[in-house]
Amino acid sequence: MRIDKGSISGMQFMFAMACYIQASTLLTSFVAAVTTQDSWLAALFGSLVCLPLIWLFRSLMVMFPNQNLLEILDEVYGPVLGKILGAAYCWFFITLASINLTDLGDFTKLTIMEETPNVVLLIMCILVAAMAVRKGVSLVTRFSDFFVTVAFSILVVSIVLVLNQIKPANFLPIFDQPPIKYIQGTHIIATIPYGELVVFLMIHPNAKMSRRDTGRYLLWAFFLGGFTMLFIVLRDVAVLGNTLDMFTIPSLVTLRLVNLGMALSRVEILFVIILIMLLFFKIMVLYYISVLTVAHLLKIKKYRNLVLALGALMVTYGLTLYPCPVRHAASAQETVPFIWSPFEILLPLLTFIVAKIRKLPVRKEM
Amino acid sequence: MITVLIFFALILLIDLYPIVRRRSWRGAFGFLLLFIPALTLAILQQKNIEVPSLMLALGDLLKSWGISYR
Repeated sequence: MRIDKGSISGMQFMFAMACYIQASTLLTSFVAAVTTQDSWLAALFGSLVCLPLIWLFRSLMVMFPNQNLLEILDEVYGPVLGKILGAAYCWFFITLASINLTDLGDFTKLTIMEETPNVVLLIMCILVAAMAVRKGVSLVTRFSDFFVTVAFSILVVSIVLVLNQIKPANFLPIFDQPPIKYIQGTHIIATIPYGELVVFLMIHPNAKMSRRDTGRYLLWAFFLGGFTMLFIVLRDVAVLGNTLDMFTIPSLVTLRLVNLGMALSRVEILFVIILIMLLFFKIMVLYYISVLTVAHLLKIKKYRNLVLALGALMVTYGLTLYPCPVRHAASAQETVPFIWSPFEILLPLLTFIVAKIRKLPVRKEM
Repeated sequence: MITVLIFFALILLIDLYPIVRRRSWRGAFGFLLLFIPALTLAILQQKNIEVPSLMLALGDLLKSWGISYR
């Protein structure tokens, strides 16, 4: 059952995925607190570890080109277990959307709108996102190429601007921490930005891509997003060194240090604006996917009338998840990678194995 | 409190009314499944009643099983 009949091009799908990864750059602070000056290694290891995961997502997309994640689960595990797993994914998507929504609220409040109540920021974001979500997948992903280009350009400009602050010695000592810290850092990177790409299994049937293009677009998205993340971490380590773990948002501090005489300072506002844009995009994608999942689970053909109710739930549920950003960061470093792993790694892998054993999907005879 | 109720009443008016007019009972069930918890949480927060965090509870559960990086 295709609920949203809209379609997007393969390029749009690719940029949406890249934009989604780039939006997670705010979350690099989770790794920074664990591996400090070696965070770039964690980002690199995390990216390498995720290559097989990208291949897994690609395989599922190619095996089931016209079925979204919930339909795949139904076909592979049967209607009962498939629905139970679908409900679990529904909780996962709504929780992910709510967490990112509160992240956006906290970030906006911390950086540019200190006096505005958090709930007002969340409601404003949800209302704008709801307008796009009601229009469907094509509008949700329409500006992803623009966002990716702007984010990449600002990254390049920011690296040029902090060149005079970069100290190669800040990368030292390398491999000076216990191995568990590198495993933890890699696990955080693998589950928080990259593993979350599992959400795109919900909209891949809307993307017009050939079998060969699917892998190509996924890899390009992974490289575009991954390189942005890696370069952001490298830039922050090169400027801040082992003081990286002292800041809630290291990138913001790095850009605050830009000072080219009286002419150019306070360029961190550029980072704030692009990050708000990217986070908004990520929330919009997660919001759309959550609505789609609920509609699909309950077999509701018109999902548009669920949008505002789910938006209200995302705001109220999001406000209960973490009492403050510090608790959020602690949870993301200690337990969240374990909570997300079944949804992002284990279940897709198990689904792939079971589908192969059961020789699914069954080709219908003409 | 009034603002919260007005806000939720608006959602009812915008989205539930068309569902009921269409007689899509499945749609109404889906809508209420999202709307009622949202309204409940909003009222609890408005009354300053602390709602336990699901993520922290899950985290504590995993920690009690020894599954954590702590």
